[in-house]
Amino acid sequence: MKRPISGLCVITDTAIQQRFSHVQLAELSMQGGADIVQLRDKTLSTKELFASAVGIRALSLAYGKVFIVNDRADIALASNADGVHLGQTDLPIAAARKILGNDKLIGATASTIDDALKAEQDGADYIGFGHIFSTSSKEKLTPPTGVAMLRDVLQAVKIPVMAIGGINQKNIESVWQTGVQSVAVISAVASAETPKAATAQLKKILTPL
Amino acid sequence: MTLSENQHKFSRLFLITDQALSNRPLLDVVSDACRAGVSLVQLREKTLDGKSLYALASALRGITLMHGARLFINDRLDVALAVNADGVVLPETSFPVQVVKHINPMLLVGRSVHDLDGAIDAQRCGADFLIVGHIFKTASKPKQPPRGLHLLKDISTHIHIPIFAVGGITPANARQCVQNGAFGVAAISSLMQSADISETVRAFQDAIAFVNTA
Repeated sequence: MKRPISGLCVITDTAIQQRFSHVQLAELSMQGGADIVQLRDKTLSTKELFASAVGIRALSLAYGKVFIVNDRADIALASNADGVHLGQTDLPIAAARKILGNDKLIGATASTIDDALKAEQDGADYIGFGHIFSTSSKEKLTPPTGVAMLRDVLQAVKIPVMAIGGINQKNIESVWQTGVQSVAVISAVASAETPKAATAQLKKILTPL
Repeated sequence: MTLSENQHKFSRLFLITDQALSNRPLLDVVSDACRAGVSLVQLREKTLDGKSLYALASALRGITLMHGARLFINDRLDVALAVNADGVVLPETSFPVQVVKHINPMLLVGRSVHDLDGAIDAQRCGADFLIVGHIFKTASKPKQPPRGLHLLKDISTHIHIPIFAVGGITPANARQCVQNGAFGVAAISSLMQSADISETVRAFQDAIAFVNTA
């Protein structure tokens, strides 16, 4: 059964910090109240990534949270994650759908309204839209979209949207006020002194409007 | 070659891709190789992103089907499933064999191994074949010393699934690999860099045919 995409998504990152493993970050986030955890690592071997995914999957079932794997539909399939998130250079949506079937979530990254409409048309279950603000976590080829364009995307597509990119304690409220279904953070949790407390603080802001 | 070996589900020459080594478009190289009689192709392009790998795999699926050749994808199970490849080749840093067999029992699974323990483990876990290496000195693994022919001999005495020797394999040394227990050979640069691929394939086939392995 497809899980709904809503609320706070924490993306695990072990490149910007080395204090916590993916599994540790995932558990701290879930304890802090994250609704969705996304495993993202572009450098690990398949074996290591699979091991992390299996660990997070067990936690996500125990805590009742949604678990998404970035990029790798095979890791999502093998770990029985709730879905996969595909960037612009990952597998096409249709290819991932063929593998995962209709019961799994497929998210797609978009940084323009056209991208978002295309992803919706291609069968994505949700759009990861951004980056909303400037961010240091990835080399970006496009300027930040800002909150205004996020509003336009929310008008343009019918599927849920997850806002991503440079979102932190200070600006998350302005993003949430657009009515976006979900907000994703990376360094706001991963680089926080206490990731669990940071997640809880962010989550508190995302109370239903 | 005995009748039972003729009927075996694998042929003896495996082509492994490496775009970086080739002066020609990969699709042309694979096309020519299949036309010359190669019927096992492994797509192994470690630096490509998912989108590019999928595009290449789709094109290779078309070519291999047209020639009745089998297509294997290195490591990326999702790409293999998405293009209906015949199987995957899993390095020891990839998925456990059982995980892939559980997801799709029809998918052929090859395991790349470097020692006897790895080979025994792979066979126990249900691998359909092994790629063993690297046997000879090769530019693709400049830092590690070659394992030598005795590794093939060691492994083949303990293993009943087909073993393909890999690493520095040429038509000149392929026969030794088979004489030392390999079922077949896997070639990367010998085929990727061949000026006349049908000639190279023929040389390989001559070298590994009619070897007395008893």
